[in-house]
Amino acid sequence: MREPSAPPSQVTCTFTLHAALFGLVCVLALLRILTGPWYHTYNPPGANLLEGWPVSWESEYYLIHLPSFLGDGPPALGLSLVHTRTFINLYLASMLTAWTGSAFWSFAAVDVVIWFLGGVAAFHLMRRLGTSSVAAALGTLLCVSSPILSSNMWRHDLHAANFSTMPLGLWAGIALVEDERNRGKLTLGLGALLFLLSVSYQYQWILVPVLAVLLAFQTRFAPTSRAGIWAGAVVLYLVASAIFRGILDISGYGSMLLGGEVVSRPSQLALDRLRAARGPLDLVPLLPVVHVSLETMQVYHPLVFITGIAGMLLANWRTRLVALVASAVTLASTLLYSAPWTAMSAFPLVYLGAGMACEALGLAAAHVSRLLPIPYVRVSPFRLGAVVTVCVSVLCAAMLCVLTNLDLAGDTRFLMRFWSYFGGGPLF
Amino acid sequence: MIGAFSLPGRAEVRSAVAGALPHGIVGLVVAQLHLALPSSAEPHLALAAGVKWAVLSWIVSEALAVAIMLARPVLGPKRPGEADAGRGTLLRIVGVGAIIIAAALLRSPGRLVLNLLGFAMVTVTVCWTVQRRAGWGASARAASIVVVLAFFPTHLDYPTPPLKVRVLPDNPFNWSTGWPSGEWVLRHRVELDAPWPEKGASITFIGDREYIGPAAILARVNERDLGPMRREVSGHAIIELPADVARGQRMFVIELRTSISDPALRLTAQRWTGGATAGSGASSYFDGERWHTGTFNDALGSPKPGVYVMLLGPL
Repeated sequence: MREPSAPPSQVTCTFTLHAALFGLVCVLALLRILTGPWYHTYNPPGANLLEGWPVSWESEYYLIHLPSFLGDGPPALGLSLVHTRTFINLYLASMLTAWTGSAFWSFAAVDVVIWFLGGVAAFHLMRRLGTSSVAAALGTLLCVSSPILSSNMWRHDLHAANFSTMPLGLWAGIALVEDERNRGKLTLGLGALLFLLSVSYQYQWILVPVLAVLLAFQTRFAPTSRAGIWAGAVVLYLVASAIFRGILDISGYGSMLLGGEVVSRPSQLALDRLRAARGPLDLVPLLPVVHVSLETMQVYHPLVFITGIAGMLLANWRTRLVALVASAVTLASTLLYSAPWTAMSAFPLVYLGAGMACEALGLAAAHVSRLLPIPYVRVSPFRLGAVVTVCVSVLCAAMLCVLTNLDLAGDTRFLMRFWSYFGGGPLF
Repeated sequence: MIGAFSLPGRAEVRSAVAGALPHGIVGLVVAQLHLALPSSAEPHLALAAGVKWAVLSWIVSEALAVAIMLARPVLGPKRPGEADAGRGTLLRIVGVGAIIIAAALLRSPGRLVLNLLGFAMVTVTVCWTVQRRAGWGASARAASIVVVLAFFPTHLDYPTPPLKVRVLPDNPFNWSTGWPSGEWVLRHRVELDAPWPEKGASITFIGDREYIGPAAILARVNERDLGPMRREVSGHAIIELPADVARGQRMFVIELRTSISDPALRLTAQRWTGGATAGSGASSYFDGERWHTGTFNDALGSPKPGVYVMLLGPL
């Protein structure tokens, strides 16, 4: 479904929505430098200072490569997976460092701007997946205030920007699949998208099966064409990745690894598990099991997660199938690499469901309000219903937002529980 | 050939000058302000700042123009071929951009490759996104912004990465704390949800830097003296609690003294207390007269709310 074009009267509305979104992202980020960034609150021994401002020790991986982008010396350090998987973000941060003279604020700007763009993409993704404007706006509100994005701000390992590429990638994928009529261009576009996702984080692995679902619903192409487009895109991605790696190797950035493999390759993790299995029974723990599902529920917050699932039941078939596939890959990824952000990989779709559920509650409240005689209110039942729908929907979404942002008011229980899924959690 | 590269008309030149004028004024104002500052009266620095701010001003105005074009309703082409108008301009801008970036970085081939790769990835992403919503013209303007942003750093040489530190004396987030006199005691309380299991525990306090002086930190845990803490090269101080001391405990009260007063012996403290098991009152200090909640930044000579940075873990 192509996103409907906005009439001129809605241009102001779009601007206002985007400006509000940017304001919200900035407020959420800046408030946390006052009340306590999540990482620094959870793990003070991992906190360092850069230019007098708080960062995590992992920022070292990226800061050491500023001279690679901005210095004239010969290559001193290799670019391993931890760097190439965030190559675009690192390039942007280095470029801004040259402009501003401040590495701290440049990294922060990249995180904030891509976080905001992720929110914009989430809104348009939700609209394309068939939700109403109200539900999409509420889902976007939940998306930008979600723990996966807030939790990594001020770490300066570019994770806030990394995780925002999920809505960006999903939106770009659906936009390409729905709008591009030419098979060759579509294959090229999807291949490029998968490659760009692999150099801005690692969500290409989730998008590969999701693209198959999205293409399956495009009846303008024959089934064999759809399969060809999908396979062609995957092959293009693999070829582009090999060329990229080859160029880095030739230019001196491949052989000297600092810190080696500080991040795990998904394919290697899966292969290691499979090789370690001595029989079929050893493969049982690889299946999505209860503890992973519980972890997923906890890192979203149980009420937010249940609302998201309930709302997803109201979505159309295509959206449900996309969410199902993305969630299945997420569960498998969490089994291989247990981290809160891995468990939340399908977050735009869960928040889409939550937005729809909030709107449904608003509509239900409006229905009830029409049945109840309300004295002293001289408005038409229709207008009253619309007001009640918006108010109740926004209230529900705001309540869900508050549940995962209570750290701003000094209640750090959710923050600590969220981070405890990353290596237990230090006691101090 | 002449037709392909025809000179701009008077109206176009006038329009270009009028467009550039405000940015030039911004640059001049910034340069004048720089000259007026007593700290940076160097004319070449003022000129550099003026040029940079003039370009920044242009980038901001172009970015706003592109944003407005993105927010406009999508309209179909009015005439055949109009949909492709601007495609050539975009390709020329991107091509020329890549050439000037490459030419500027020929002195450093490795850097040249990384910058061209980054430039290509950002340009493709930005141009595709803008083009599909606002057309080739807007896409060309967005590409010109990327070219200018990417070209500017090429004249700089940034040889070393920025330095990170654990603490700074007057920092509001992470500072260090020590023992200003012999009777000074630092105390930290850890409260557990469940009794400590049947094994020993390890307590680590994070030092602010390497320490190789004569002083030792003496630890007392739950009213039991455990002697001097082990010092690591990193400056961390560690004490191991035997299983019989740790087992079943729901609270650890750790008190730290020094064998001799040494201003160089210091521990790290942090502002945010939300993760501490005992909350904002977890850390305290004794100044020889009475106990105070929080920490004491003796570099500034003032108390600071916060916690000592430490860890309790199993042996």
